[in-house]
Amino acid sequence: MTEVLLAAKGKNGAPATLDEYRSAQGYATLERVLKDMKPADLIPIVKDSGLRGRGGAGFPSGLKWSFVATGDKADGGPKYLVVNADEMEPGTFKDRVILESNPHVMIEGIVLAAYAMEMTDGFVFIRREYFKQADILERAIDEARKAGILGHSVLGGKWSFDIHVHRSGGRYICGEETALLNAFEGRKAQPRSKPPFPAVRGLWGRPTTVHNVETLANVPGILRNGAAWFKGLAKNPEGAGTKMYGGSGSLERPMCVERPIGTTLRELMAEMGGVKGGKQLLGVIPGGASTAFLTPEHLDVPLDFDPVVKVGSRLGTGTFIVFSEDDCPVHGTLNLQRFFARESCGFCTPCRDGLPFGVGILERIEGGTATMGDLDLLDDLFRNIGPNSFCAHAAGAAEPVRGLYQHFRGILEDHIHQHRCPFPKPGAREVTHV
Amino acid sequence: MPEILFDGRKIAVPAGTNLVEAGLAAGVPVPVFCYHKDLGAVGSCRVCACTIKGADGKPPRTVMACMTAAADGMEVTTLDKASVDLRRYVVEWLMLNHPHDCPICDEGGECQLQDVTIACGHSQRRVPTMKRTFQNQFLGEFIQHEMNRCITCYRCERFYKDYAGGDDFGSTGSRDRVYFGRFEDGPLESPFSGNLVEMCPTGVFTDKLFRYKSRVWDLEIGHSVCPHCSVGCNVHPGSRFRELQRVRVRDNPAVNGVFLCDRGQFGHGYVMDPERPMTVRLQGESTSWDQALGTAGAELLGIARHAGPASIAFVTSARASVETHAALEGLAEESLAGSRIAHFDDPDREARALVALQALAAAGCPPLDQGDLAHVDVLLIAGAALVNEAPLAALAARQVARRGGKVFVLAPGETYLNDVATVIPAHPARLAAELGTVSAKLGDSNGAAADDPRLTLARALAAAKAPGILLGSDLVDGPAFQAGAALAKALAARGTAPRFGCVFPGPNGFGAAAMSAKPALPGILADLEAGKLQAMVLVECETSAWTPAQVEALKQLPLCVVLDYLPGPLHQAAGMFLPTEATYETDGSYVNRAGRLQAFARSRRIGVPVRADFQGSSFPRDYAVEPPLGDVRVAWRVLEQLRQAALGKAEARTLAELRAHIARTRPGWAPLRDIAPGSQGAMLELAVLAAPQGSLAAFPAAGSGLAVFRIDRTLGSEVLSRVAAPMRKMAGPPVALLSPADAKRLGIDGAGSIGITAGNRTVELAARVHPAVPEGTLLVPRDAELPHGLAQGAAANVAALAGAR
Amino acid sequence: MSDPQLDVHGNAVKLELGPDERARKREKIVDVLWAIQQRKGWIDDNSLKAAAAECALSPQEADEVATFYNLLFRRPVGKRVVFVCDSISCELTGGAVLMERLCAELAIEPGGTTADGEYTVLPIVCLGHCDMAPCCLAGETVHGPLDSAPDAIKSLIQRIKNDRSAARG
Ligand SMILES: Cc1cc2nc3c(=O)[nH]c(=O)nc-3n(C[C@H](O)[C@H](O)[C@H](O)COP(=O)(O)O)c2cc1C
Ligand code: SF4
Ligand code: FES
Repeated sequence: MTEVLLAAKGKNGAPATLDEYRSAQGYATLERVLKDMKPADLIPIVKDSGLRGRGGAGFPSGLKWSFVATGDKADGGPKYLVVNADEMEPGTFKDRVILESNPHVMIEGIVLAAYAMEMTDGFVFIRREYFKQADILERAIDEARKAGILGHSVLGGKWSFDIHVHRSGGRYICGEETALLNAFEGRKAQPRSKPPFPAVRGLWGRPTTVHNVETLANVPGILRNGAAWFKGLAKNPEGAGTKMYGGSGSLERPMCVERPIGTTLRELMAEMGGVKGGKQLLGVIPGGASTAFLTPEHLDVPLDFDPVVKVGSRLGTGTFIVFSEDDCPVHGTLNLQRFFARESCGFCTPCRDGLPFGVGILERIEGGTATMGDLDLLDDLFRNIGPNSFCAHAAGAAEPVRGLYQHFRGILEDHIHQHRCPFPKPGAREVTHV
Repeated sequence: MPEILFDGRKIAVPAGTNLVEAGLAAGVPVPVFCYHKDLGAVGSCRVCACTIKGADGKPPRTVMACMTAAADGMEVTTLDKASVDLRRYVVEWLMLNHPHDCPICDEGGECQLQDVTIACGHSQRRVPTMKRTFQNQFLGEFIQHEMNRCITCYRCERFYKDYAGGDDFGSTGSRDRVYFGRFEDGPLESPFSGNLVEMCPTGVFTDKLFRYKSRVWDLEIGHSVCPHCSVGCNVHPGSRFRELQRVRVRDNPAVNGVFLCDRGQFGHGYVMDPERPMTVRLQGESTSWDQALGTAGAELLGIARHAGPASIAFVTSARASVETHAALEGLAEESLAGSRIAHFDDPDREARALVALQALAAAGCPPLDQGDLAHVDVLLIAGAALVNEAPLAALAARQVARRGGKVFVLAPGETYLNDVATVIPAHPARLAAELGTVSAKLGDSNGAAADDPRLTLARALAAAKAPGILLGSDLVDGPAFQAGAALAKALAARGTAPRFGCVFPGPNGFGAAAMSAKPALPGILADLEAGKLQAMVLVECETSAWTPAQVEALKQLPLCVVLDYLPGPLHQAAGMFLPTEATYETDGSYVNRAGRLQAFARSRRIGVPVRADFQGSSFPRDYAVEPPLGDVRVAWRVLEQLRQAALGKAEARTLAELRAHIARTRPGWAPLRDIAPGSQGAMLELAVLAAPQGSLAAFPAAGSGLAVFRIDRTLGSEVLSRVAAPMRKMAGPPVALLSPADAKRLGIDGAGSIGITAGNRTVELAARVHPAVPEGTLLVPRDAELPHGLAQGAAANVAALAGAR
Repeated sequence: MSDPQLDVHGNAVKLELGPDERARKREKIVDVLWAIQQRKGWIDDNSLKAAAAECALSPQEADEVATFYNLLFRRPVGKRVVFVCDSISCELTGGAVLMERLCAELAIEPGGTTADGEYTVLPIVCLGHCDMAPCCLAGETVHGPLDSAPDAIKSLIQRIKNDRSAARG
């Protein structure tokens, strides 16, 4: 892979400026599209490109765009494009890398997507912990505004479109798209029931599309080079485009790289220096906290949506977390469950009260005081939580537990039989480099 | 209508019906916590799990019944393993933090959580974790807070905020630490806070007045009707050992559904008031019923013979039952023919009620009852801040707006509906003109933007499918009643199907008006003052609207018989006092503000409660067949007995006989014959009801000073509910409302103290600025003292009192 | 008056179908609360009431938002708050030890505030800097990857002390 599409940095690794972005053909696509294409022409291209949402669910983006009423079917009121830059899924830091390197590619993506869906305003919902990234973004938006790309007359035309940044107060559930809308409106960030879907009643009751940062960053390339080009980027036949892959955990060189979608774990891990300290690989969580474990036997599975589903997990955010032979997967799962229990919004019972229940059982298992009966209870518990929560938060929480039972049943039983965790206690890092 | 198979039972339900309601139709009560038929479905508790198999051939899946609409050919089961397991888990999760303090919880026995826990088979705690604990808040005199019991169904918050429009209560925090309460300790501000008790599926919000009093299964509970306003909400008073301990709602979909206001739910303290007179008294001495009735009968006959029957007057009020009014009429018109009777104790309210009834007849359209508000799409409320006069009507009006309908308020002093309604703070003296304007503009649909809200209102009414017009009572004058009826008529003429309603004073104001032929009280009071009366029988009355001279004259009467259950000046003044039973202690009926006859039945056996006898040691050592102070009688029976005593030979009629008599002799009253407590009630036949005569003058045009209007307030002004201390505390002292302009002129900044002068008297009162009070008016709660003889809407001099702020 | 907002077809957007003024005010609540916290370090009851009034909310409604977020404090904290990530990638790289040593160095429990009121240490969920695990956030700066050796902890505290964005109050 030669071309860096999404996260091309500027000079000295600083975020690409408007000029730098322009010199790499940035905003040329937007100019051409606004001049030559009708909004409705864009959607088929995005549909054909096979672009799927990078926020975790992998929903086909072109299809999502087609849900928004346009033209005569629209009522003439405001319509919103909302960018989900909440990125709080543990293990996930890919959107941050895009924002830090190339904010304009996302901005161009936003304007193009908004044009296709005939939207009137763009909003970026960004987690507050991304102080620097939000500043970078605001600076870039300002540059674009000054250059006439955003604002009252986009590229000199009649259309007026601007992007506003909304900083969150910090809560994982704000990433769930309907909770995000509530959070945005200054309400408690609890999810809304669907239907009505945001495309019909979203922000302030208006038609709204929510997209992940990375998804939108892909849009300029697609419209510049066409659907076939985008499809051709992928490594696996059913895939399309590139992916920001991140690796962290017990990895020698944790990092985020853009690679063709369908690149395998083996390839990515090799690039990132392999398991830390040359240890054996125990397993990985492939795409953020709400995906199920994969094991060394899956090292050659293309990391794309469908292939990962075929082996019993999900691509999720495409940012994997590596467990070495010294890392207890029960301990890791307990950590994840504490996260999910703590970040529950408190709306529905399986999540609010069921997850802490699960934490209690996991604590007993990890602490060596559980029985075989507890093992069955935990399994059964998450089978009941998973499909029955109101939003996908608790469903996501059930995923790693499912993987734990599928691949590490033996380790679970060892905890019971040995009345303790058979793994070494997670220690401090030995290497100092500040 | 989709046909579905629900746990093997085939039923058809209207399209869109959710599976909880469908289950009920099939006879399967699906457990629910967060779902409520009036609050709707949000799908948060996840206990209503069931498994569906669609006609689409997709594999069966477990869904939330409340969030799923019945579709044709759907097979629903609640009995499969997946649903049963999930329900059991949900209860297990909820019970993780529930303190399981059922033995000391007032909700025990009527706790949805108890029922569902048992029904879903959860009995063992499988993971011994610590339980979360919360600190409780002081929420006022009515509601006790016990947050540890909370199962986070959000029903309280959804009721309080979404349904009732409050903003001082909700949920803070998140995860398994959601806290339902207020920003800081303090009384709940919503006048509908009592419904939290009913909304909460367990014991987080319980009735403070009922705290630790009884296990609910020990209560004697009857079907009754709330006596605190003309809406006529249905209630279930609960008593034990002769003590009235609580009032809870009775679901009557035609009236209040499952809601009550705080006046109705917590206003019952007068029943157990220690000051309540419970003995028969003759010239200050206690005596027997026989003695008293004999004396009264003989004296009445004697006076009739010597001074003529015209020197005897009978007065009752809108809080007396239909049967009491009828019995009094029997006494006045049959037994002592030629004597006089007034069905109201306040001349102003009498005139108002009679004219309201005329307006209902004149409008010529069906009345607008509480249940009808559910179908109204554009509602005009005129001449009332509705929450003051008919609280539940205001709650229902809010739902009109929530459903997407439009609500307009044409009245001063609106406090409750202003966030959902277009409020035009009309001066009461201009109300008739305003209504006339609206009528005139009904046809005005030429495209111009409606800057004037009156034009918006007219257009909305003209475009409505089911417009509703609801007039208040206190702030409506004669011309406005007529204009309201005319507006309804005009709407009907345009081909819509309007409904027209009025608020009446008192729980039986409509009934009292329908029994009146014409205004009678002014004449009686004039004769009283002129010394032309020899005897008066006053049944369940106040004299607060009488002049001091009239009250004085009453004291001088040779015979003054008072029947009542309230202590007070009349009780003191009466030569003869006969204690009567309050609504919850007796059988009878009321006619609500729309003409709905509703029967009530006894739920409390009268007498000193056992609790009071017991004095801390043991149960009573003295035994008797009759309870102490148990010989208190219902007013209509006392009147029948008086009639018997006066006539010597007539038989005292039974309740059924009295009702049959009214049904037979009065046109429109036929439904009374078959009326039963615990039903939806029955409408009087408005079309054939004899409309009373009488008229009501227009409010005086602006004079010097401010036009003073007496108004109700939700809590604190109604005569029965204001007796008990908790209610008075929650209501606070009466405060007059005045306009920003007048306040500025008087030098009152926000709030202050004013003196109101009329004639040669000045009274002092707290006052507050209210943005929706028109200049030139002063709204004074009925429970505040005003200079005597100040007619409704008459001008008085108002001045700020120095020093007071 | 500014020109009307036009959509992609050049038609005026019917803004009346969008949020009203009240909704717009409400949107600002997190920012308003955050600004208060920047000034005072935390959001006391009186400030909360003021924030509510500014956003056309009741105090209760504002509190519902304030108590929902990880970064908003309704209780006093130290002058500098150190958020130590306790999510999975940091945990796998020694985050728990980092937390333990940092707290030991400052002589507090996790969640506690030093006696001099200078530091509060709080656990937080994934900071989105897993490539820098284990890490912590102080002010606007993310520190990582962090070593838990005693000297490294001391130097971390020193850097936080010198970071102007980290000091409030
Ligand atoms: C609990 C939860 C948290 C989520 N967090 C994020 C997030 O931080 N960022 C994100 O882009 N999507 C997140 N999502 C997914 C969004 O709901 C939504 O699917 C996504 O933003 C859609 O964008 P896409 O179509 O571009 O993927 C989350 C979903 C859930 C259920
Ligand atoms: S699963 Fe339920 S409690 Fe959890 S975050 Fe979603 S709605 Fe909230
Ligand atoms: S897990 Fe600590 S920053 Fe992601």
